[in-house]
Amino acid sequence: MQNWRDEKNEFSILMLPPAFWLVTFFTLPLVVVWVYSFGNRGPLGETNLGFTLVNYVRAFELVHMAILWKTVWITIIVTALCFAFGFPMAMAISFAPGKWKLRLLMLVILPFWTNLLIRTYAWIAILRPRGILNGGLKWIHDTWYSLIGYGVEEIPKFVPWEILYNDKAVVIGLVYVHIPFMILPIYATMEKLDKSFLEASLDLGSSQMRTIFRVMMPLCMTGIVSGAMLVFVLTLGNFIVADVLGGTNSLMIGNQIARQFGAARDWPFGAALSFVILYATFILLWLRSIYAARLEQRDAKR
Amino acid sequence: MTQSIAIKIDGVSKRYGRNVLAVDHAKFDIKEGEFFTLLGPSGCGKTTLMRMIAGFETLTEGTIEICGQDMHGVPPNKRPVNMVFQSYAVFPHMTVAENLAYGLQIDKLGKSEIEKRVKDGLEMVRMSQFSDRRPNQLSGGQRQRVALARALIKRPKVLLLDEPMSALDAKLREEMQVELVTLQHEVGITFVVVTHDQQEALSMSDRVAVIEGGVVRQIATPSELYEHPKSKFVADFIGKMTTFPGKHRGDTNAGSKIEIPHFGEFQCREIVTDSPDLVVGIRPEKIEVRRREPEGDVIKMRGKVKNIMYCGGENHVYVDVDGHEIVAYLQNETRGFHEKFQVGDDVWSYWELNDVVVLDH
Repeated sequence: MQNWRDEKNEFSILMLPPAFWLVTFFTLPLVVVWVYSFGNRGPLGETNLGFTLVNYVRAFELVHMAILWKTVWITIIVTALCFAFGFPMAMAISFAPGKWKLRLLMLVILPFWTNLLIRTYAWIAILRPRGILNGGLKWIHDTWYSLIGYGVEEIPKFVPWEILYNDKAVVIGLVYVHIPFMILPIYATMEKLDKSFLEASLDLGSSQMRTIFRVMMPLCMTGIVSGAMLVFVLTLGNFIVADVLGGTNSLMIGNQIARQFGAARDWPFGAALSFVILYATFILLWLRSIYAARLEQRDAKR
Repeated sequence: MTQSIAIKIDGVSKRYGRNVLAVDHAKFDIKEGEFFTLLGPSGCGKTTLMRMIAGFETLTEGTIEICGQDMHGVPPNKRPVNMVFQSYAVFPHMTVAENLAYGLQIDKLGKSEIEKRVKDGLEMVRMSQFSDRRPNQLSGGQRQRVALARALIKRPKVLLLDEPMSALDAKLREEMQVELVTLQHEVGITFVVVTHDQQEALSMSDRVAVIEGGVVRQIATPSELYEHPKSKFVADFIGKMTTFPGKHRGDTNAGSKIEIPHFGEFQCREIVTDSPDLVVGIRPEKIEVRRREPEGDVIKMRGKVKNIMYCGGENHVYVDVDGHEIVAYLQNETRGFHEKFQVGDDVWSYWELNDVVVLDH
């Protein structure tokens, strides 16, 4: 099982089903969408094949670029928050005593057993004006005023925090949905990390905090980068969360695309929008590989 | 000269869970400037003991004092000791110079002072030309030197080394042993080394503590340990030893009378023990083998050569004496000497009374 060339038969047998699957259900549809992106919409919403760049020109209109720009911003914030919460969680699991490790990991994975839509709707119950969050805040509000000597009638009216149906709710929902994708890869690299690096740092006089920032984080970089990429890509394409928790202004590019394939019945334009994102992703990956190669060159020179 | 005490270990025990006693009432002092070795088979508790000194393990019982200060509740980063880890733990994301500077940056030293100390540290371990390298571009021996310099430039009161030679190949190991001893004399810092390699312990240390099953069996200088082991475990663990069961047959003015059943009685030069059952041992290089019966005041046994192992500098000759195996190391003093005996030869093996070790059973 060393390489493809030596065991041609075994590898072809093993590879045939997945290759067939990928070509039929991934590559072919992608090609279809790509072809559609050059077509045009007929008067009844049907797709006429052809070759026109109109859809792409439209995709670069200010309205759509503004949505894309905002989507990228939300995605960056969501990724950063996932890291800020996910890294300590991964650390807590990795350093937990043996029998707790598995239980905590299960808790991270558990939400996947429930449908994404249902989980997202649950956030409405939490965030709405008379929901769990505002209920708790109201209780604190009332208790506080009665503690400092207000009578029942004198307590100022509690104004609920408007956190549902806007960008805040979208960010909260997206962080919630995607944080496992940040925790798991970081946890995996942490498990492989030789703990004597951390002990060496402490032994050399570093505090726990300095050890985390100067030794732990750099040594977990591969996990952090893969986690961040997963969260970034998944968040960029997500439209369910913005659909359920967002307001009229919280449109993300995913919603815009979904709308073209749905209500707007403009498949060619939806296809073009999707491919603009795909092209942008390719360009980003290409830039990243150039950067990585340059880093490698610099290290080799030393 | 009375030396002051660097580490005082007083009644230290470590228990894992309810049943595992990793260290059992260890009590000894390590002197300032000493090269001290904790020696024992794997799982004997020596590493646990070292990690308790460094502050990575808590004590179940007892106290550890470093330079007169009780270390109870003092975290590792506040202890005046530094450690060289078994895996060296040289940070892979920093250059060699950055690794050395990492520990100094906490001590609130000036930038020029840090640079100077890093430079001196690299010179000390002869790694100056590698200061900009990354650890993955270094060999195991070079990485060890980086770890050593990184710990030493913190100027600790005590340097702890956990199995420092285990990741090196045999040739490099001997080189580094010499280098480590030289370095220790130069810097004058107390070194505490953990090892399972008795050769390493004997060749480097001022004193050695032999540990078995969490219990310190004997603490002595290397020569004392080898020539006068106190127990069968120590005798077996350090070097090789042929042993016979013996019987104590009373004392005279000259010393104890001891009988080796089936082989006769002999007279010790001192009073060795009180217990009636004991073990008589003899080191293989102290045994002579010849064809003619030896004369004079020696212990001699007649037997047959059972096996010969040629080891270059010496021959290991296994002599069968009435079902008892005696191992003798004979120096190959002249070319062709190794052919002097053949398997099946009738020989006498004998040794001086003085070389006998008497151990409690």
